[in-house]
Amino acid sequence: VFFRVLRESFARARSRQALAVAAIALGAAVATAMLAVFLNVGDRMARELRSFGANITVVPAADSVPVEIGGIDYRPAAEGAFIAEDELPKLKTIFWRHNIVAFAPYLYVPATLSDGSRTVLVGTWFNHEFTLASGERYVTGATQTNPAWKVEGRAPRDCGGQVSTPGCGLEALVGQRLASRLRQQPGSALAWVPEFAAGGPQSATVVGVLTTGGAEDDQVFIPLRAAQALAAQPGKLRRLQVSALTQPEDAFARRDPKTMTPVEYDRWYCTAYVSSIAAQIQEALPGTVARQVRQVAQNEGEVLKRVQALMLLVTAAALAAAALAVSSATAAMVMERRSEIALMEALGASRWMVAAFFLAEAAVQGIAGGLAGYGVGFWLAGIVGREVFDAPAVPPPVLLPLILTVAVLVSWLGALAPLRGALRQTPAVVLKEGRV
Amino acid sequence: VNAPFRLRLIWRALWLRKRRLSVAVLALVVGASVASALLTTYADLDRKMAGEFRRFGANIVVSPRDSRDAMSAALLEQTGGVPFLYVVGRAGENEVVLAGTDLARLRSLAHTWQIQGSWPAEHECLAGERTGVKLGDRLLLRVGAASASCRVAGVTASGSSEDSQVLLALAKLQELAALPGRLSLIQVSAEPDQVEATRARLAGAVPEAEVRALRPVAESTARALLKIRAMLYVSSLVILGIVGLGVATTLGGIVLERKADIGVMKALGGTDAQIAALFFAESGLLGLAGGVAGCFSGLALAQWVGHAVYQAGVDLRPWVIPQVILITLAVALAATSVPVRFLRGVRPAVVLKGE
Repeated sequence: VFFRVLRESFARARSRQALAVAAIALGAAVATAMLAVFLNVGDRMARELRSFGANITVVPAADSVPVEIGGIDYRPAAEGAFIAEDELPKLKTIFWRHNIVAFAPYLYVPATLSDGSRTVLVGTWFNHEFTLASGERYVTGATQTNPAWKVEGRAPRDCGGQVSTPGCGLEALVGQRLASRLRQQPGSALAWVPEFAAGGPQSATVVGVLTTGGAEDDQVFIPLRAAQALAAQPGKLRRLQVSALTQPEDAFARRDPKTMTPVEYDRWYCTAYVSSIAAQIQEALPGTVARQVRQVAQNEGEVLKRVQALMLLVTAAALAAAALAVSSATAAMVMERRSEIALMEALGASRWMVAAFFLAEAAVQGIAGGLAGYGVGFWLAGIVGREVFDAPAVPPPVLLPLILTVAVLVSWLGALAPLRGALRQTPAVVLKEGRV
Repeated sequence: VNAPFRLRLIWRALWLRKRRLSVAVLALVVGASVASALLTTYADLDRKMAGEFRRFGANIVVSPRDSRDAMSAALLEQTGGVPFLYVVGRAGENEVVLAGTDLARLRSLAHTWQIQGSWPAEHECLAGERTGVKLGDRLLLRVGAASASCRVAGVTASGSSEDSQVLLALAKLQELAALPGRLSLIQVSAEPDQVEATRARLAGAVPEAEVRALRPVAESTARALLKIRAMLYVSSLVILGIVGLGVATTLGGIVLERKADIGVMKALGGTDAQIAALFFAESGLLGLAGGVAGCFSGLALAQWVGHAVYQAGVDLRPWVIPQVILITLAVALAATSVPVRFLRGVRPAVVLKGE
């Protein structure tokens, strides 16, 4: 009888049931979408903040004191220590290799330009491609570590170590200030005399003009191998800039790893703190020192923490609101059916029986609504993710059972209070009034 | 029907069902507090996050037109930034870059630097960790034939160029390098949404220098702010929508419960419009009460959010109060308008006697 009544209830009052299911579905959809967006927000924001530029810088350990202004080393190109270029792919073998978004090597060659002014030829990678151990192709370089750079024209092509190969001459990307001073534009030729190096004047074809607003606006960027040839330092580089996705630092991250117990050390090592990623880079590239660029790394963590806290609160508010909407919908439904409850009681159903009936009904509604809501929420999260971050937020599959359970619980919670009230009343009174 | 009677009718209708109605008012209060907390947080977001983003460093740089020149320090007054003069000299045995700056002003930009020792006073200096200089040393600085000395008050690790520089007071380096009143560049930190305006203003004020916006900082900040704002905006809309829905279901149920009352009123000669007006007045009162109460609890909630997220209270904006009360009132009235349509279908005889 119990199940027949339940089935009949759904078959007969379709529109009323549909309304309750719709309310639950709406609540579940909001909950799914908000949770999915919340779970994705840390990662997405971290990626957004990577456009501030590299957050780890790697230099040789046994180096002499660099003569450095605005990130550029003005020492003679042959002085001091270097990092070997063929070690670099090792960066993509560290524990947090998937968090290494991009990296770029730098080698600086001071040079004198045609108007007698000094500049620095910066050798680096542009869209440098190599194959990882996993067989995956990986593209990295200066434009990848600095997504906010504005290049008018295009980045130089790397034509091997030769300064000029037939069909592919030396190409350069020129800083905007320098370009406007020397009236350079894509297509024109730029001549220079490298300092501290043998060899006379050289020239390159300008293929792009770079605007950053920083020191780069006064520099000339050339392929790394061309700079190595100029400095007579084949396969060497002076500095490595790494852009890594990191986690906000907490009190634990600021502890000195040397003072940690083995268990703590493992936890630190396996968390994507900027300090642990820097330590892993140092392990992968012996003879180097990896430092966090504190102004970027520290502030990035602060901003991430704030955004996550904000989204946590907003998500909690959305969940509370969804629960409120669902439970008020089920409550209103039970209220409406007081006379039905009285009738059941009058016909001899025990209070438990009636309660079980309504709770079972609410459970069926909760599951149906939860399922529909999860589907709609999935779609909604995709839209919100694409609109805000250009990548859909995908709710993890664990969310489905969670949403279903919560949907059932919340609709029970809504049904419970009015149900208790209705059961407390005498059937006869309700039935007489209930005719209204 | 005269006015005092109408008032009494509304008052009794509310008072007699106070327990049932308290649920509706509670829903309205919750709705209104969420709305006012969200509006306040949203309105305060830009200013608060902008504060965070400013710490990413200066976003405007003022430098001489020709990078070979140094510019006049008089420009500093017009820009209000942090001045720098770079000179290659010797610190002890090593050739290093000596950076002269306004140490007091730099300190506010340099809060992320890791410093061993203390921030230097005017006559002291701060050495980068790659210079190999020891904390507490008396450092001999030389530029050409001139020399000066300073005590190393601190050794810094910033991860940037400062790690291989020696920082000292601007006036001291100007004197040492025989470049009185000269600067290499000025760093200015403008509000993230004011970068372009500030750049244009400075460019007009100091035509002899070049004023550039640091694209990575300025643009990344703007983009990140935009994303955060969009996310909060979408979430707020979703929350407000669903809160409104919850309130509407509760209020709607309350009207439907009163079929018998409606029957009596109709039997006594009340017109549909009069009865509808009574219901609207009732929910209007509820909406107003819920709105006022929710508004203030929402502002308290926003304060708490501010402390939880930014460790600082949020600015209370007076315009939020009337706005939230109006929204709540509108939701309450809209929620009533749906079930009120069913008034017309109520036939007193049927309702009062039963089928």
